[in-house]
Amino acid sequence: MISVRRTSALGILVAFSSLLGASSCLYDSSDRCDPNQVYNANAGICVCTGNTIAGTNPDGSPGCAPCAEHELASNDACVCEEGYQRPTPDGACTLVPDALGLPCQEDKDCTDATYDTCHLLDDASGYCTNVGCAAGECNGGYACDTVADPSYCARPPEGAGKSCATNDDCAGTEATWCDTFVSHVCYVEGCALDGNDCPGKECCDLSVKSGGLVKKTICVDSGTCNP
Amino acid sequence: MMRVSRFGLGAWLLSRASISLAADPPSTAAAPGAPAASTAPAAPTTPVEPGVDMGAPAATTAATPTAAAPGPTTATADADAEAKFDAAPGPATDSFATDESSGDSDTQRKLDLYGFADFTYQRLLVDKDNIWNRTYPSVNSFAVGNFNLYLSSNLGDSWRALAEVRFMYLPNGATKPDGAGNAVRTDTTVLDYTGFSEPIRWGGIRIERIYVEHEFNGLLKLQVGQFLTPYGIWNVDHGSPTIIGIKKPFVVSNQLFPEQQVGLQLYGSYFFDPLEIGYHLTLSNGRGPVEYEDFDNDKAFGGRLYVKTEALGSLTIGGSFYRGGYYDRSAKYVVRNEGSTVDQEYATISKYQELSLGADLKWEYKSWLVQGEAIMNETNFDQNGRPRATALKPPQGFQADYRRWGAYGLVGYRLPFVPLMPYVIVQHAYSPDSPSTPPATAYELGVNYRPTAAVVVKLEYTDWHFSAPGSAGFGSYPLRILATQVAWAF
Repeated sequence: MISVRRTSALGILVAFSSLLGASSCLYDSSDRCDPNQVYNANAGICVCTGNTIAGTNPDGSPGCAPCAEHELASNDACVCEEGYQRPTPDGACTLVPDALGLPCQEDKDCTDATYDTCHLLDDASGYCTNVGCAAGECNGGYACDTVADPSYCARPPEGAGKSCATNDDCAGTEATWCDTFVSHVCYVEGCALDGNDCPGKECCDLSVKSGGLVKKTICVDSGTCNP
Repeated sequence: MMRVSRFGLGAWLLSRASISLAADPPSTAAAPGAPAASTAPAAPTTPVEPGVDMGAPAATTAATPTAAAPGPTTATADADAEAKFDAAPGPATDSFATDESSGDSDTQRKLDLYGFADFTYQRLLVDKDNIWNRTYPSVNSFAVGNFNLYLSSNLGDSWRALAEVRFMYLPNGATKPDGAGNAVRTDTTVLDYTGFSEPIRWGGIRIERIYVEHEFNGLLKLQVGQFLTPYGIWNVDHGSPTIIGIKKPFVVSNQLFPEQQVGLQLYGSYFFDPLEIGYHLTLSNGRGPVEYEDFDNDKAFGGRLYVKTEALGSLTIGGSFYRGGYYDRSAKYVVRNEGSTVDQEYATISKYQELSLGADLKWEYKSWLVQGEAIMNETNFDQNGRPRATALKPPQGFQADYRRWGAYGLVGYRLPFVPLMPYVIVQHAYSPDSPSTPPATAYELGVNYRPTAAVVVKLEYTDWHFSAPGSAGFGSYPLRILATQVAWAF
């Protein structure tokens, strides 16, 4: 006669062994990331490979998001290929027209029907652009300086929007500050909040937005400092 | 345009690390919760031993003079506690306090209320410019940490119920980083309409456990509800008066096993003289963002097996495991069928499978107490279930699969003429899941003094050593803590 107690003990032993046996190891130190990711030992995280950046999948789940057409993954951001610019921060990379930004000394140097105006700079150099624009109408990453009269499409500062990991990557350009927090691109820094030294853009006080952590002013696209 | 939400990350990490290294309430326990023989008599009628494993079988009480207990005590793991503690319920006493030997009467249904609380003061022995001065919680402050209340009742016919709730000042004063890097403090101040609208602050209540239990026999007892995960020593016997030190070891507070689970627990024990062999088996929702909802319908299971003998003092050796899934998701309402139906759409936030293993030892011999635990936890994230990693600096990415582990050892000696126990704790923690938390080793030295059976006074010095700076740089700064605590049972 088998006692209830003995049967119980046997059942428990079997259940315990089965559950423990089903608990196989989950961790593989040589395979710690998803297929399109690679483990970065220095950071201790999985980083995206190929032309993708850390973002979300179409279903909203976390994953490596592919960069769009004419974009390259660089420093955790999708930046435009050479010769392309974003007309707006969230816009697609568009081809910079050949005639836009050509060096010039006077209007007659600008032979293109659209970009027929030579905008002269303080150092007596100039570039071909168009006038009479409104906000958001400029091509190739140029920004409409509506403060000027007549309004014109202002060339982005050299280096602005360049992919960077540190300020060193921005050195030697007009945009010397690297946003290492989110966008990982170079910005022009040190603008005056009450001036117009961000042609076509606006001067943004980061100390306000960061709660005092970052005491700096930078040129950003109009309307994006306090959206 | 720079979006500054990332600035919050630093503060989050600060809070994460400081919490994980320090902020856990001192709700640990060294008191034994040893399972009992199936032949053990019923638990005493006196409320006993807040903080010990309320669900543990009342085994060794068979040899323990519990009936004479005058009131709540802080009886601990000391096997031969002083004579003044002899009258106290044995440390393994089941806290289902009502007498089962009587019939199913109104007397049986009485509700027993008892509990514990603690009061702590701590300060850091570090330079003024040390960042721990600003990130370690409750520094140089008087703080009531735990105020836990137990409610137990014998429901008759081998049915019993137990609940434990913790009253908290929280969420008042809790900080959380916002998108701009500010540590935003929760303020629960409201105007009291019962007076002259004077400002008062409200706090919260945390359900530590609540379950009903039926005992089929000594080998088969079933709990349903929310229970403390039966692993190791410290997690189950968590009351601050019953434990030796002030803070639970990091490997316990870091929850390599989930602290609690909602589901079923089967447990029992059997004697093979001189050995007692006991087990716990659990089936639960597992770890998750919501206690009462299992998003992935993936039930977790686990268990603990232990062997105990009184042949040489009291020696318990145990092993525990847990296997389960975690799934967190966001949801949004969507309109379907041309506007005739409102549905929900889910997006995964985090999803993984995890395995935890633990081993523990506790040996009480004469006036000596030796105990230790080693715990491992590993996870494997689903594809597209990896949450974004909290990286302060490039590159950005996702949480990698990880294996974290830790261990601690405690040695204490109860002095013969005064109710004082000097003790030493050494612990180590390796937490690759949190880059801001570098591998750390702590050396703790303390004394545990019991002026009465229900009151414990502790003084503890802790010296943390970090083997790397960690992503937030905390490991570059020494951390030395001097803390004192009064804990009492009521």
